[in-house]
Amino acid sequence: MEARRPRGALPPATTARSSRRRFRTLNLAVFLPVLSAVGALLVARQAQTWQQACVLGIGVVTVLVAFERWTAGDVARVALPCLAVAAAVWPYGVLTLDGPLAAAYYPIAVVGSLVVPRLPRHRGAAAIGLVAYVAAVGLLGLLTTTPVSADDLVDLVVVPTGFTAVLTGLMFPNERFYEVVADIEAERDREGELAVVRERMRFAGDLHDIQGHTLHVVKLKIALARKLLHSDTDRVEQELREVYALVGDTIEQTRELAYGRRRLNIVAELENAKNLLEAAGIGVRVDCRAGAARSDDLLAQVLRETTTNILRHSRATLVRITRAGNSLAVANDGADGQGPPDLRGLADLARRVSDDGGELTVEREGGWFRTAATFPAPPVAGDRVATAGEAGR
Amino acid sequence: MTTVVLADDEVLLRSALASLLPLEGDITVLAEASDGAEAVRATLAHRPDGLVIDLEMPGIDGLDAVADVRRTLPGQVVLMLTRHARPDVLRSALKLGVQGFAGKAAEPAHIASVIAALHGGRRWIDQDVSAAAIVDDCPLTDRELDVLRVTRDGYSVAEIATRMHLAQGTVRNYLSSAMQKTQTRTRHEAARYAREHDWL
Repeated sequence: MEARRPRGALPPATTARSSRRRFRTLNLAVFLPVLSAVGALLVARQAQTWQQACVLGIGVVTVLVAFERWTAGDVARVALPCLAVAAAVWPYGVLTLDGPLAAAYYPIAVVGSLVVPRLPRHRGAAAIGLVAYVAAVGLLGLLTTTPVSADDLVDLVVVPTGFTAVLTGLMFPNERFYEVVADIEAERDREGELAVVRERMRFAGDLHDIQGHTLHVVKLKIALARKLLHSDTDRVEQELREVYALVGDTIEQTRELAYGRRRLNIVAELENAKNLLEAAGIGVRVDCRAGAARSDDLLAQVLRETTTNILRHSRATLVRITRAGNSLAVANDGADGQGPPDLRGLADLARRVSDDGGELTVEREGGWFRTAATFPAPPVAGDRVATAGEAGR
Repeated sequence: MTTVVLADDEVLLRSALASLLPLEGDITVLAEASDGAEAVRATLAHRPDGLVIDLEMPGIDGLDAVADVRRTLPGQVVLMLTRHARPDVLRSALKLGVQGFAGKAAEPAHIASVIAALHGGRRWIDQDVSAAAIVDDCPLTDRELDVLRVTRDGYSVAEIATRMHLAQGTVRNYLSSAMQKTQTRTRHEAARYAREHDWL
Protein backbone atom coordinates (compact mmCIF):
# COMPACT_ATOMS: atom_id res chain seq x y z
CA MET A 1 0.00 0.00 0.00
CA GLU A 2 3.03 2.20 0.09
CA ALA A 3 2.34 3.75 -3.28
CA ARG A 4 -0.93 5.08 -1.97
CA ARG A 5 0.73 7.52 0.39
CA PRO A 6 -0.34 10.97 -0.72
CA ARG A 7 2.83 12.35 -2.13
CA GLY A 8 1.14 15.56 -3.21
CA ALA A 9 0.82 16.96 0.30
CA LEU A 10 2.82 20.13 -0.01
CA PRO A 11 3.77 22.17 2.99
CA PRO A 12 0.67 24.36 3.10
CA ALA A 13 2.34 27.73 2.91
CA THR A 14 4.43 27.05 -0.20
CA THR A 15 2.27 28.81 -2.74
CA ALA A 16 1.39 31.64 -0.37
CA ARG A 17 5.08 32.28 0.15
CA SER A 18 5.80 32.19 -3.55
CA SER A 19 3.16 34.83 -4.29
CA ARG A 20 4.49 36.97 -1.45
CA ARG A 21 7.90 36.83 -3.12
CA ARG A 22 6.41 37.95 -6.39
CA PHE A 23 4.62 40.87 -4.80
CA ARG A 24 7.85 41.81 -3.06
CA THR A 25 9.80 41.88 -6.31
CA LEU A 26 7.05 43.85 -7.98
CA ASN A 27 6.77 46.38 -5.15
CA LEU A 28 10.52 46.84 -4.91
CA ALA A 29 10.83 47.34 -8.66
CA VAL A 30 7.96 49.79 -8.93
CA PHE A 31 7.85 51.75 -5.69
CA LEU A 32 11.39 51.77 -4.34
CA PRO A 33 12.66 54.02 -7.18
CA VAL A 34 9.63 56.29 -6.78
CA LEU A 35 10.07 56.60 -3.03
CA SER A 36 13.80 57.31 -3.30
CA ALA A 37 13.41 59.76 -6.17
CA VAL A 38 10.66 61.71 -4.40
CA GLY A 39 12.68 61.73 -1.16
CA ALA A 40 15.88 62.86 -2.87
CA LEU A 41 14.03 65.58 -4.78
CA LEU A 42 12.36 66.93 -1.64
CA VAL A 43 15.62 66.98 0.32
CA ALA A 44 17.48 68.65 -2.54
CA ARG A 45 14.86 71.37 -2.93
CA GLN A 46 13.98 72.04 0.69
CA ALA A 47 17.20 71.63 2.71
CA GLN A 48 18.96 74.94 3.18
CA THR A 49 22.06 73.81 5.07
CA TRP A 50 24.21 70.68 4.96
CA GLN A 51 23.03 69.77 8.43
CA GLN A 52 19.39 69.90 7.30
CA ALA A 53 20.23 67.87 4.20
CA CYS A 54 21.83 65.24 6.45
CA VAL A 55 18.90 64.96 8.86
CA LEU A 56 16.27 64.95 6.08
CA GLY A 57 18.41 62.47 4.15
CA ILE A 58 18.36 60.14 7.18
CA GLY A 59 14.58 60.48 7.11
CA VAL A 60 14.47 59.35 3.46
CA VAL A 61 16.77 56.40 4.22
CA THR A 62 14.42 55.42 7.05
CA VAL A 63 11.54 55.40 4.54
CA LEU A 64 13.49 53.10 2.19
CA VAL A 65 14.50 50.72 4.98
CA ALA A 66 10.94 50.53 6.29
CA PHE A 67 9.59 49.98 2.77
CA GLU A 68 12.10 47.25 1.98
CA ARG A 69 11.22 45.38 5.18
CA TRP A 70 7.52 46.01 4.50
CA THR A 71 7.72 44.22 1.14
CA ALA A 72 9.35 41.30 2.96
CA GLY A 73 6.42 41.22 5.40
CA ASP A 74 8.84 42.02 8.18
CA VAL A 75 8.20 45.68 8.95
CA ALA A 76 7.50 44.96 12.63
CA ARG A 77 11.18 44.32 13.28
CA VAL A 78 12.29 47.78 12.19
CA ALA A 79 9.08 49.58 13.11
CA LEU A 80 10.26 51.16 16.36
CA PRO A 81 13.62 52.60 15.24
CA CYS A 82 12.17 53.75 11.91
CA LEU A 83 9.18 55.40 13.56
CA ALA A 84 11.46 57.05 16.12
CA VAL A 85 13.77 58.52 13.49
CA ALA A 86 10.90 59.61 11.24
CA ALA A 87 9.05 61.10 14.21
CA ALA A 88 12.17 63.07 15.18
CA VAL A 89 12.77 64.39 11.66
CA TRP A 90 9.33 66.05 11.54
CA PRO A 91 9.73 68.43 14.57
CA TYR A 92 13.35 69.06 13.48
CA GLY A 93 12.04 70.22 10.12
CA VAL A 94 9.27 72.30 11.67
CA LEU A 95 11.70 74.13 13.93
CA THR A 96 14.61 74.64 11.54
CA LEU A 97 13.26 74.72 8.00
CA ASP A 98 12.29 77.98 6.49
CA GLY A 99 9.85 77.41 3.65
CA PRO A 100 8.22 74.21 2.31
CA LEU A 101 8.23 71.31 4.78
CA ALA A 102 7.33 68.25 2.68
CA ALA A 103 10.79 66.70 3.16
CA ALA A 104 10.24 66.76 6.94
CA TYR A 105 6.82 65.05 7.16
CA TYR A 106 7.41 62.71 4.24
CA PRO A 107 9.27 60.15 6.45
CA ILE A 108 6.73 60.04 9.29
CA ALA A 109 3.79 59.87 6.86
CA VAL A 110 5.24 57.00 4.81
CA VAL A 111 6.75 55.00 7.67
CA GLY A 112 3.60 55.47 9.75
CA SER A 113 1.33 54.34 6.93
CA LEU A 114 3.49 51.26 6.39
CA VAL A 115 3.64 50.31 10.06
CA VAL A 116 0.17 51.11 11.38
CA PRO A 117 -1.99 48.85 9.14
CA ARG A 118 0.35 45.94 9.93
CA LEU A 119 0.02 46.25 13.69
CA PRO A 120 -1.42 43.15 15.32
CA ARG A 121 -4.09 45.19 17.16
CA HIS A 122 -5.20 48.73 18.07
CA ARG A 123 -4.71 49.76 14.47
CA GLY A 124 -7.44 52.39 14.55
CA ALA A 125 -6.05 54.01 17.72
CA ALA A 126 -2.53 53.91 16.31
CA ALA A 127 -3.70 55.57 13.09
CA ILE A 128 -5.41 58.35 15.05
CA GLY A 129 -2.31 58.72 17.25
CA LEU A 130 -0.08 59.01 14.20
CA VAL A 131 -2.22 61.68 12.58
CA ALA A 132 -2.59 63.51 15.91
CA TYR A 133 1.18 63.52 16.40
CA VAL A 134 1.76 65.02 12.96
CA ALA A 135 -0.90 67.66 13.67
CA ALA A 136 0.49 68.38 17.17
CA VAL A 137 4.03 68.96 15.91
CA GLY A 138 2.61 71.25 13.23
CA LEU A 139 0.69 73.20 15.88
CA LEU A 140 3.87 73.44 17.97
CA GLY A 141 5.60 75.01 14.97
CA LEU A 142 2.64 77.34 14.59
CA LEU A 143 3.06 78.56 18.18
CA THR A 144 6.71 79.46 17.60
CA THR A 145 5.92 81.58 14.54
CA THR A 146 4.69 85.08 14.96
CA PRO A 147 2.61 86.45 13.46
CA VAL A 148 0.44 83.48 12.50
CA SER A 149 -1.10 83.60 9.04
CA ALA A 150 -3.67 81.30 7.39
CA ASP A 151 -0.95 80.10 4.99
CA ASP A 152 1.19 78.97 7.94
CA LEU A 153 -1.74 77.00 9.31
CA VAL A 154 -2.16 75.25 5.98
CA ASP A 155 1.56 74.57 5.48
CA LEU A 156 2.31 73.41 9.02
CA VAL A 157 -0.84 71.60 10.10
CA VAL A 158 -3.48 70.99 7.39
CA VAL A 159 -1.30 69.64 4.54
CA PRO A 160 1.02 67.40 6.64
CA THR A 161 -1.88 66.03 8.69
CA GLY A 162 -4.05 65.51 5.63
CA PHE A 163 -1.23 63.82 3.70
CA THR A 164 -0.50 61.45 6.58
CA ALA A 165 -4.18 60.68 7.12
CA VAL A 166 -4.88 59.98 3.44
CA LEU A 167 -1.76 57.84 3.00
CA THR A 168 -2.51 55.79 6.12
CA GLY A 169 -6.15 55.49 5.10
CA LEU A 170 -5.14 54.16 1.69
CA MET A 171 -2.78 51.58 3.16
CA PHE A 172 -5.56 49.87 5.09
CA PRO A 173 -7.45 48.61 2.02
CA ASN A 174 -4.08 47.77 0.47
CA GLU A 175 -3.33 45.50 3.44
CA ARG A 176 -6.75 43.84 3.03
CA PHE A 177 -5.87 43.18 -0.60
CA TYR A 178 -2.78 41.21 0.38
CA GLU A 179 -4.76 39.34 2.99
CA VAL A 180 -7.37 38.37 0.39
CA VAL A 181 -4.67 37.11 -1.95
CA ALA A 182 -3.08 35.12 0.87
CA ASP A 183 -6.50 33.71 1.80
CA ILE A 184 -7.16 32.61 -1.77
CA GLU A 185 -3.83 30.83 -1.95
CA ALA A 186 -4.27 29.18 1.43
CA GLU A 187 -7.69 28.10 0.21
CA ARG A 188 -6.15 26.50 -2.85
CA ASP A 189 -3.70 24.56 -0.73
CA ARG A 190 -6.42 23.47 1.63
CA GLU A 191 -8.57 22.31 -1.25
CA GLY A 192 -5.75 20.10 -2.49
CA GLU A 193 -5.22 18.64 0.95
CA LEU A 194 -8.92 18.12 1.41
CA ALA A 195 -9.12 16.21 -1.85
CA VAL A 196 -6.28 13.96 -0.67
CA VAL A 197 -7.93 13.40 2.70
CA ARG A 198 -11.33 12.72 1.14
CA GLU A 199 -9.76 10.24 -1.24
CA ARG A 200 -8.01 8.52 1.66
CA MET A 201 -11.28 8.26 3.59
CA ARG A 202 -13.07 6.80 0.62
CA PHE A 203 -10.24 4.39 0.07
CA ALA A 204 -10.21 3.30 3.72
CA GLY A 205 -13.95 2.69 3.59
CA ASP A 206 -13.74 0.61 0.43
CA LEU A 207 -10.79 -1.32 1.79
CA HIS A 208 -12.67 -2.15 4.94
CA ASP A 209 -15.68 -3.29 2.94
CA ILE A 210 -13.58 -5.66 0.88
CA GLN A 211 -11.24 -7.05 3.51
CA GLY A 212 -13.37 -6.88 6.63
CA HIS A 213 -15.97 -9.18 5.17
CA THR A 214 -13.42 -11.70 3.94
CA LEU A 215 -11.51 -11.77 7.21
CA HIS A 216 -14.71 -12.46 9.08
CA VAL A 217 -15.69 -15.35 6.81
CA VAL A 218 -12.15 -16.77 6.84
CA LYS A 219 -12.09 -16.69 10.61
CA LEU A 220 -15.35 -18.61 10.80
CA LYS A 221 -14.27 -21.14 8.20
CA ILE A 222 -10.95 -21.78 9.95
CA ALA A 223 -12.73 -22.18 13.29
CA LEU A 224 -14.94 -24.75 11.62
CA ALA A 225 -11.97 -26.52 10.04
CA ARG A 226 -10.24 -26.78 13.42
CA LYS A 227 -13.33 -28.37 14.95
CA LEU A 228 -13.57 -30.88 12.11
CA LEU A 229 -9.88 -31.58 11.78
CA HIS A 230 -10.05 -35.01 13.40
CA SER A 231 -13.54 -36.03 12.41
CA ASP A 232 -14.20 -34.96 8.81
CA THR A 233 -11.03 -34.26 6.84
CA ASP A 234 -12.92 -34.07 3.54
CA ARG A 235 -14.98 -31.24 4.87
CA VAL A 236 -11.83 -29.61 6.25
CA GLU A 237 -10.24 -29.78 2.85
CA GLN A 238 -13.29 -28.23 1.25
CA GLU A 239 -13.33 -25.41 3.80
CA LEU A 240 -9.65 -24.74 3.25
CA ARG A 241 -10.17 -24.72 -0.52
CA GLU A 242 -12.93 -22.15 -0.12
CA VAL A 243 -10.79 -20.04 2.19
CA TYR A 244 -7.98 -20.16 -0.33
CA ALA A 245 -10.25 -19.05 -3.18
CA LEU A 246 -11.86 -16.34 -1.08
CA VAL A 247 -8.53 -14.88 -0.01
CA GLY A 248 -7.32 -14.97 -3.61
CA ASP A 249 -10.40 -13.04 -4.71
CA THR A 250 -9.88 -10.52 -1.97
CA ILE A 251 -6.27 -9.92 -2.91
CA GLU A 252 -7.44 -9.36 -6.48
CA GLN A 253 -10.17 -6.95 -5.43
CA THR A 254 -7.82 -5.06 -3.16
CA ARG A 255 -5.38 -4.64 -5.97
CA GLU A 256 -8.15 -3.42 -8.26
CA LEU A 257 -9.16 -0.94 -5.61
CA ALA A 258 -5.68 0.36 -5.02
CA TYR A 259 -4.32 0.48 -8.54
CA GLY A 260 -7.13 -0.11 -10.97
CA ARG A 261 -8.60 3.34 -10.92
CA ARG A 262 -5.86 5.32 -12.48
CA ARG A 263 -6.64 5.57 -16.14
CA LEU A 264 -4.21 7.20 -18.47
CA ASN A 265 -4.91 7.99 -22.08
CA ILE A 266 -3.31 6.01 -24.86
CA VAL A 267 -0.74 8.68 -25.65
CA ALA A 268 0.60 8.55 -22.10
CA GLU A 269 0.54 4.76 -22.12
CA LEU A 270 2.45 4.73 -25.40
CA GLU A 271 5.10 6.86 -23.75
CA ASN A 272 5.28 4.52 -20.75
CA ALA A 273 5.47 1.44 -22.96
CA LYS A 274 8.27 3.05 -24.92
CA ASN A 275 10.21 3.87 -21.73
CA LEU A 276 9.72 0.33 -20.47
CA LEU A 277 10.93 -1.31 -23.67
CA GLU A 278 13.89 1.02 -23.88
CA ALA A 279 14.80 0.16 -20.29
CA ALA A 280 15.01 -3.47 -21.40
CA GLY A 281 17.47 -2.42 -24.08
CA ILE A 282 15.02 -2.61 -26.97
CA GLY A 283 14.96 0.17 -29.54
CA VAL A 284 11.54 1.76 -30.06
CA ARG A 285 10.14 3.79 -32.94
CA VAL A 286 6.78 5.38 -32.33
CA ASP A 287 4.71 6.77 -35.15
CA CYS A 288 1.70 8.32 -33.56
CA ARG A 289 -0.96 10.27 -35.34
CA ALA A 290 -3.83 11.61 -33.31
CA GLY A 291 -7.12 9.91 -34.00
CA ALA A 292 -10.62 9.49 -32.74
CA ALA A 293 -10.72 8.09 -29.23
CA ARG A 294 -13.61 5.67 -29.51
CA SER A 295 -11.70 2.51 -28.72
CA ASP A 296 -8.84 3.98 -26.75
CA ASP A 297 -9.38 1.60 -23.92
CA LEU A 298 -9.15 -1.54 -26.02
CA LEU A 299 -6.23 -0.16 -28.00
CA ALA A 300 -4.47 0.48 -24.71
CA GLN A 301 -5.10 -3.13 -23.68
CA VAL A 302 -3.62 -4.34 -26.95
CA LEU A 303 -0.61 -2.14 -26.31
CA ARG A 304 -0.13 -3.53 -22.80
CA GLU A 305 -0.50 -7.12 -23.91
CA THR A 306 1.94 -6.78 -26.79
CA THR A 307 4.46 -4.88 -24.67
CA THR A 308 4.42 -7.63 -22.06
CA ASN A 309 4.90 -10.26 -24.77
CA ILE A 310 7.85 -8.41 -26.22
CA LEU A 311 9.44 -7.99 -22.80
CA ARG A 312 9.22 -11.74 -22.32
CA HIS A 313 11.02 -12.47 -25.58
CA SER A 314 14.54 -11.25 -25.17
CA ARG A 315 15.28 -11.58 -28.86
CA ALA A 316 13.54 -8.40 -29.92
CA THR A 317 15.95 -5.54 -30.54
CA LEU A 318 13.61 -3.16 -32.31
CA VAL A 319 9.93 -2.39 -31.85
CA ARG A 320 7.81 -0.25 -34.12
CA ILE A 321 4.59 1.12 -32.75
CA THR A 322 2.25 2.76 -35.21
CA ARG A 323 -0.92 4.45 -34.21
CA ALA A 324 -3.17 6.07 -36.76
CA GLY A 325 -6.77 6.96 -36.12
CA ASN A 326 -8.52 3.87 -34.86
CA SER A 327 -5.73 1.39 -35.30
CA LEU A 328 -2.66 0.36 -33.43
CA ALA A 329 0.11 -1.82 -34.75
CA VAL A 330 3.02 -3.16 -32.76
CA ALA A 331 5.79 -4.92 -34.64
CA ASN A 332 8.99 -6.40 -33.29
CA ASP A 333 11.94 -8.12 -34.88
CA GLY A 334 12.02 -10.92 -32.30
CA ALA A 335 10.03 -13.52 -34.23
CA ASP A 336 12.06 -16.71 -34.37
CA GLY A 337 10.23 -18.13 -37.34
CA GLN A 338 9.21 -21.37 -35.65
CA GLY A 339 5.66 -22.48 -35.04
CA PRO A 340 2.52 -20.42 -35.00
CA PRO A 341 2.42 -17.12 -33.15
CA ASP A 342 1.71 -17.54 -29.46
CA LEU A 343 -1.85 -16.39 -29.31
CA ARG A 344 -2.78 -17.58 -25.84
CA GLY A 345 -2.70 -14.15 -24.23
CA LEU A 346 -3.97 -12.44 -27.33
CA ALA A 347 -6.88 -14.80 -28.02
CA ASP A 348 -9.02 -13.35 -25.26
CA LEU A 349 -8.16 -9.87 -26.38
CA ALA A 350 -8.95 -10.73 -30.01
CA ARG A 351 -12.42 -11.80 -28.92
CA ARG A 352 -13.04 -8.54 -27.07
CA VAL A 353 -11.74 -6.51 -30.00
CA SER A 354 -14.08 -8.28 -32.38
CA ASP A 355 -16.98 -7.85 -29.93
CA ASP A 356 -16.36 -4.14 -30.24
CA GLY A 357 -16.51 -4.35 -34.04
CA GLY A 358 -12.78 -4.33 -34.57
CA GLU A 359 -10.23 -6.82 -35.79
CA LEU A 360 -7.02 -8.10 -34.24
CA THR A 361 -4.48 -9.55 -36.61
CA VAL A 362 -1.28 -11.32 -35.73
CA GLU A 363 1.25 -12.10 -38.41
CA ARG A 364 4.84 -13.16 -38.77
CA GLU A 365 6.89 -12.10 -41.73
CA GLY A 366 10.63 -12.04 -42.38
CA GLY A 367 11.63 -12.16 -38.73
CA TRP A 368 9.07 -9.55 -37.78
CA PHE A 369 6.14 -10.26 -35.52
CA ARG A 370 3.28 -7.87 -35.98
CA THR A 371 0.12 -7.41 -33.94
CA ALA A 372 -2.42 -4.94 -35.22
CA ALA A 373 -5.82 -3.90 -33.93
CA THR A 374 -8.12 -1.94 -36.18
CA PHE A 375 -11.50 -0.50 -35.40
CA PRO A 376 -13.98 0.91 -37.88
CA ALA A 377 -13.98 4.69 -38.15
CA PRO A 378 -16.27 6.32 -35.62
CA PRO A 379 -19.76 7.07 -36.91
CA VAL A 380 -20.03 10.23 -38.95
CA ALA A 381 -22.41 13.00 -37.95
CA GLY A 382 -25.41 11.49 -39.77
CA ASP A 383 -25.20 8.14 -37.95
CA ARG A 384 -24.51 9.67 -34.61
CA VAL A 385 -28.13 9.95 -33.57
CA ALA A 386 -28.67 6.24 -34.09
CA THR A 387 -25.50 5.13 -32.35
CA ALA A 388 -25.14 7.83 -29.74
CA GLY A 389 -26.13 5.49 -26.96
CA GLU A 390 -23.64 2.89 -27.97
CA ALA A 391 -20.79 5.28 -28.67
CA GLY A 392 -21.43 6.93 -25.37
CA ARG A 393 -19.14 9.91 -25.86
CA MET B 1 17.11 -29.51 -10.34
CA THR B 2 17.13 -25.76 -9.87
CA THR B 3 18.79 -24.18 -6.86
CA VAL B 4 17.64 -20.86 -5.47
CA VAL B 5 18.36 -18.37 -2.72
CA LEU B 6 15.19 -16.87 -1.31
CA ALA B 7 15.28 -13.33 0.05
CA ASP B 8 12.25 -11.72 1.65
CA ASP B 9 11.91 -9.75 4.85
CA GLU B 10 8.42 -11.11 5.52
CA VAL B 11 9.15 -14.28 7.47
CA LEU B 12 5.73 -15.85 7.04
CA LEU B 13 5.72 -15.44 3.28
CA ARG B 14 9.33 -16.51 2.94
CA SER B 15 8.96 -19.68 4.96
CA ALA B 16 5.71 -20.57 3.19
CA LEU B 17 7.41 -20.12 -0.17
CA ALA B 18 10.48 -22.04 1.01
CA SER B 19 8.28 -24.99 1.98
CA LEU B 20 6.05 -24.83 -1.10
CA LEU B 21 8.60 -24.31 -3.89
CA PRO B 22 10.30 -27.71 -3.45
CA LEU B 23 6.83 -29.30 -3.45
CA GLU B 24 5.70 -27.48 -6.61
CA GLY B 25 8.73 -27.97 -8.80
CA ASP B 26 12.19 -29.45 -8.89
CA ILE B 27 13.58 -26.65 -6.77
CA THR B 28 16.03 -26.67 -3.87
CA VAL B 29 16.21 -23.66 -1.57
CA LEU B 30 19.90 -23.31 -0.68
CA ALA B 31 19.51 -20.40 1.71
CA GLU B 32 17.03 -17.85 2.95
CA ALA B 33 17.78 -14.20 3.59
CA SER B 34 15.74 -11.60 5.44
CA ASP B 35 17.28 -8.45 3.98
CA GLY B 36 19.25 -7.20 1.01
CA ALA B 37 22.71 -7.46 2.55
CA GLU B 38 22.09 -11.01 3.65
CA ALA B 39 20.75 -11.85 0.18
CA VAL B 40 23.97 -10.59 -1.41
CA ARG B 41 26.13 -12.61 1.02
CA ALA B 42 24.05 -15.78 0.54
CA THR B 43 24.07 -15.48 -3.24
CA LEU B 44 27.81 -14.96 -3.43
CA ALA B 45 28.40 -17.83 -1.03
CA HIS B 46 26.03 -20.38 -2.58
CA ARG B 47 26.04 -19.36 -6.25
CA PRO B 48 22.45 -20.52 -6.85
CA ASP B 49 20.88 -21.01 -10.29
CA GLY B 50 18.41 -18.28 -9.39
CA LEU B 51 18.05 -15.54 -6.83
CA VAL B 52 14.43 -15.03 -5.85
CA ILE B 53 14.28 -11.69 -4.16
CA ASP B 54 11.59 -9.43 -2.78
CA LEU B 55 11.72 -5.93 -4.13
CA GLU B 56 10.50 -4.15 -1.02
CA MET B 57 12.86 -4.77 1.87
CA PRO B 58 14.23 -2.51 4.59
CA GLY B 59 17.79 -1.25 4.33
CA ILE B 60 19.27 -2.48 1.07
CA ASP B 61 16.21 -3.17 -1.08
CA GLY B 62 15.87 -5.73 -3.84
CA LEU B 63 17.15 -3.45 -6.60
CA ASP B 64 20.29 -2.43 -4.70
CA ALA B 65 20.98 -6.03 -3.70
CA VAL B 66 20.67 -7.17 -7.33
CA ALA B 67 23.00 -4.39 -8.46
CA ASP B 68 25.48 -5.57 -5.80
CA VAL B 69 25.26 -9.20 -6.82
CA ARG B 70 25.69 -8.36 -10.48
CA ARG B 71 28.97 -6.62 -9.84
CA THR B 72 30.46 -10.01 -8.90
CA LEU B 73 28.13 -12.33 -10.82
CA PRO B 74 27.06 -10.44 -13.94
CA GLY B 75 25.12 -13.40 -15.30
CA GLN B 76 23.14 -14.19 -12.15
CA VAL B 77 19.55 -15.13 -12.95
CA VAL B 78 17.18 -13.05 -10.83
CA LEU B 79 13.46 -13.36 -10.24
CA MET B 80 12.11 -10.31 -8.54
CA LEU B 81 8.93 -10.61 -6.52
CA THR B 82 6.86 -7.57 -5.78
CA ARG B 83 3.72 -6.74 -3.89
CA HIS B 84 3.08 -3.83 -6.13
CA ALA B 85 6.16 -2.18 -7.48
CA ARG B 86 6.16 1.54 -7.98
CA PRO B 87 5.76 1.78 -11.75
CA ASP B 88 9.24 3.12 -12.39
CA VAL B 89 10.82 0.20 -10.50
CA LEU B 90 10.18 -2.25 -13.31
CA ARG B 91 12.07 0.08 -15.62
CA SER B 92 15.05 0.20 -13.23
CA ALA B 93 14.95 -3.57 -12.79
CA LEU B 94 14.94 -4.13 -16.56
CA LYS B 95 17.89 -1.79 -16.86
CA LEU B 96 19.72 -3.93 -14.30
CA GLY B 97 18.99 -6.95 -16.49
CA VAL B 98 16.58 -8.65 -14.08
CA GLN B 99 15.12 -11.53 -16.10
CA GLY B 100 11.97 -12.22 -14.14
CA PHE B 101 9.33 -10.15 -12.49
CA ALA B 102 6.35 -11.71 -10.75
CA GLY B 103 3.68 -10.59 -8.33
CA LYS B 104 4.08 -11.77 -4.77
CA ALA B 105 0.46 -12.84 -4.68
CA ALA B 106 1.05 -15.29 -7.52
CA GLU B 107 0.49 -19.01 -6.96
CA PRO B 108 3.60 -20.82 -5.70
CA ALA B 109 3.16 -23.19 -8.65
CA HIS B 110 3.37 -20.22 -11.01
CA ILE B 111 6.49 -18.91 -9.25
CA ALA B 112 8.06 -22.35 -9.51
CA SER B 113 7.36 -22.53 -13.25
CA VAL B 114 8.75 -19.03 -13.74
CA ILE B 115 11.95 -20.05 -11.92
CA ALA B 116 12.23 -23.05 -14.24
CA ALA B 117 11.67 -20.87 -17.32
CA LEU B 118 14.30 -18.34 -16.21
CA HIS B 119 16.73 -21.17 -15.53
CA GLY B 120 16.07 -22.28 -19.11
CA GLY B 121 17.30 -18.89 -20.33
CA ARG B 122 13.94 -17.24 -20.87
CA ARG B 123 12.61 -13.99 -19.55
CA TRP B 124 9.35 -13.61 -17.69
CA ILE B 125 7.32 -10.59 -16.70
CA ASP B 126 3.87 -11.04 -15.26
CA GLN B 127 1.21 -9.39 -17.38
CA ASP B 128 -0.23 -7.45 -14.45
CA VAL B 129 3.19 -6.15 -13.40
CA SER B 130 4.01 -4.79 -16.83
CA ALA B 131 0.46 -3.56 -17.40
CA ALA B 132 0.67 -1.66 -14.12
CA ALA B 133 3.95 -0.12 -15.20
CA ILE B 134 2.32 1.05 -18.41
CA VAL B 135 -0.96 2.20 -16.89
CA ASP B 136 0.36 3.80 -13.75
CA ASP B 137 3.75 5.20 -14.63
CA CYS B 138 4.36 8.88 -15.10
CA PRO B 139 4.95 9.47 -18.80
CA LEU B 140 6.34 12.95 -18.27
CA THR B 141 10.05 13.66 -18.22
CA ASP B 142 11.69 15.39 -15.26
CA ARG B 143 11.95 18.62 -17.23
CA GLU B 144 8.27 18.51 -18.18
CA LEU B 145 7.37 17.96 -14.54
CA ASP B 146 9.56 20.91 -13.49
CA VAL B 147 7.79 23.15 -15.97
CA LEU B 148 4.36 22.00 -14.77
CA ARG B 149 5.38 22.58 -11.15
CA VAL B 150 6.20 26.21 -11.93
CA THR B 151 3.04 26.50 -14.04
CA ARG B 152 1.02 25.49 -11.02
CA ASP B 153 2.28 28.57 -9.20
CA GLY B 154 0.58 30.69 -11.83
CA TYR B 155 3.58 31.91 -13.81
CA SER B 156 3.41 32.87 -17.45
CA VAL B 157 5.54 31.16 -20.08
CA ALA B 158 7.99 34.07 -20.09
CA GLU B 159 8.33 33.95 -16.31
CA ILE B 160 8.77 30.15 -16.32
CA ALA B 161 11.52 30.55 -18.90
CA THR B 162 13.32 33.14 -16.75
CA ARG B 163 12.99 31.14 -13.57
CA MET B 164 14.20 27.90 -15.12
CA HIS B 165 16.92 29.57 -17.21
CA LEU B 166 15.43 28.20 -20.42
CA ALA B 167 14.45 29.74 -23.72
CA GLN B 168 10.74 30.49 -24.07
CA GLY B 169 10.55 28.19 -27.09
CA THR B 170 11.97 25.33 -25.03
CA VAL B 171 9.41 25.91 -22.30
CA ARG B 172 6.65 25.92 -24.92
CA ASN B 173 7.94 22.62 -26.29
CA TYR B 174 7.95 21.02 -22.83
CA LEU B 175 4.47 22.32 -22.14
CA SER B 176 3.03 21.19 -25.45
CA SER B 177 4.56 17.75 -25.05
CA ALA B 178 3.19 17.52 -21.49
CA MET B 179 -0.23 18.64 -22.77
CA GLN B 180 -0.15 16.02 -25.48
CA LYS B 181 0.81 13.22 -23.14
CA THR B 182 -1.90 14.19 -20.69
CA GLN B 183 -4.40 14.95 -23.48
CA THR B 184 -5.18 18.36 -22.06
CA ARG B 185 -5.75 21.64 -23.82
CA THR B 186 -4.05 24.18 -21.57
CA ARG B 187 -0.92 24.10 -19.47
CA HIS B 188 -3.01 24.65 -16.35
CA GLU B 189 -5.12 21.59 -17.14
CA ALA B 190 -1.92 19.62 -17.69
CA ALA B 191 -0.57 20.80 -14.34
CA ARG B 192 -3.82 19.85 -12.63
CA TYR B 193 -3.80 16.43 -14.32
CA ALA B 194 -0.25 15.81 -13.14
CA ARG B 195 -1.14 16.97 -9.67
CA GLU B 196 -4.15 14.64 -9.56
CA HIS B 197 -1.90 11.75 -10.50
CA ASP B 198 0.59 12.66 -7.76
CA TRP B 199 3.34 13.27 -10.24
CA LEU B 200 4.33 16.72 -9.05
